[in-house]
Amino acid sequence: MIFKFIICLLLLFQINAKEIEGFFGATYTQFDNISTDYNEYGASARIKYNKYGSGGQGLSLLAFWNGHSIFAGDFMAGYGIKTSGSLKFEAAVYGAYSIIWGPGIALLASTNFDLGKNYFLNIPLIFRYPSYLGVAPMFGYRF
Amino acid sequence: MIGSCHGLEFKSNIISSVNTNDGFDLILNTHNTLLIGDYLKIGPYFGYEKLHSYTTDTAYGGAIRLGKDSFLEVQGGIYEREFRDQSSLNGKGYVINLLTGTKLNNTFSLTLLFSGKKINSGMDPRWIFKVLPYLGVSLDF
Repeated sequence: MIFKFIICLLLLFQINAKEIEGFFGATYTQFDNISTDYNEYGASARIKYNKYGSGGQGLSLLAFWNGHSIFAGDFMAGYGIKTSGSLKFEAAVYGAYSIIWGPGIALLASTNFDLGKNYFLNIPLIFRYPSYLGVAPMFGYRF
Repeated sequence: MIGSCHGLEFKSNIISSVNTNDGFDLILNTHNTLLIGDYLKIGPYFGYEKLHSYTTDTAYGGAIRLGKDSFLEVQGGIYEREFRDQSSLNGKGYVINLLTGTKLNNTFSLTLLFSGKKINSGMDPRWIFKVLPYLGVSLDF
C-alpha cells in the first residue's frame, strides 16, 4: 500500500531531462623506508546516466568501480522515475552484474538537491542483492 | 587588497556504506576555513578526515584563497594520523592541500582537492597523495 502511494506521488511530479552524475577519488601512498613493492594506490568512481523522457521516466545506467580494477566494477541498467521541483525524489530498479558479486538486482531511492541552474547533489540509497546497502552521493549535471 | 567580505566555509565529502558482509563504515572528510578578505582571502584551516573505522586524520593550519566565483586555494599546516585497533599509533607530520573550485550559487561551491600529507614520525614515514571532489557550503558575513 505504501509502495503504491509512493509510486503515485512520483507520477504526479516528473522531470524531463538527461542527466549525468558522478563521483571519483584517487589515493597514492609512497613509503620512505620500505620497498616500493609496498606502495599503495587506489581509485574509485561511480557514474550514473539518466535519460528521462517527458513522463519523467526512462533509462537509468549506473556503474561503480571500487578500485580493484577497471573490469571489476558493478554495472547496472534499469528503469527510473524522478519528480520535478527544486527538491526531487527518484526511484529506480536495476539489473546488475559484477565480476566480484555476480548477477543481481538493485533498488535505488534518492533525494536530489539543486545546487545551481543545472547542477545538483544526488544522495541515493542503494540496495544491491547480493550484497550491499549503501549511500553513494554524486554530483550531477542536467542538460 | 583585503576587503570586507568574510566567509566561513565548510567543505565536506561523505561516503557512507553499510556492507552486508563487513558491517557499517562511514567515511567523512571535512575541510573547514574561516577566510577574511575579498578577492584575496586568508584565514585558519581545520581538516578532519575519518578514513575508515580505524583511521582518523586531523590537520590545523592556514589557508589562502585567490578569486571569488572561481578560486584557487592553498591550505597548509600540521597533520596527525591516529590509527586505533588492538594497538594505537599516532603519526605526525604536515599537510599541503591545493584546491580549485567554482561557486555554484551564493551558498554552494564545487571544489576539487589535491592533497599531500607527509608523516615524519610515529609511523613508517610516508607521503600520502589524494584527489577528491568536495561540496562546499559557505556562510558569508
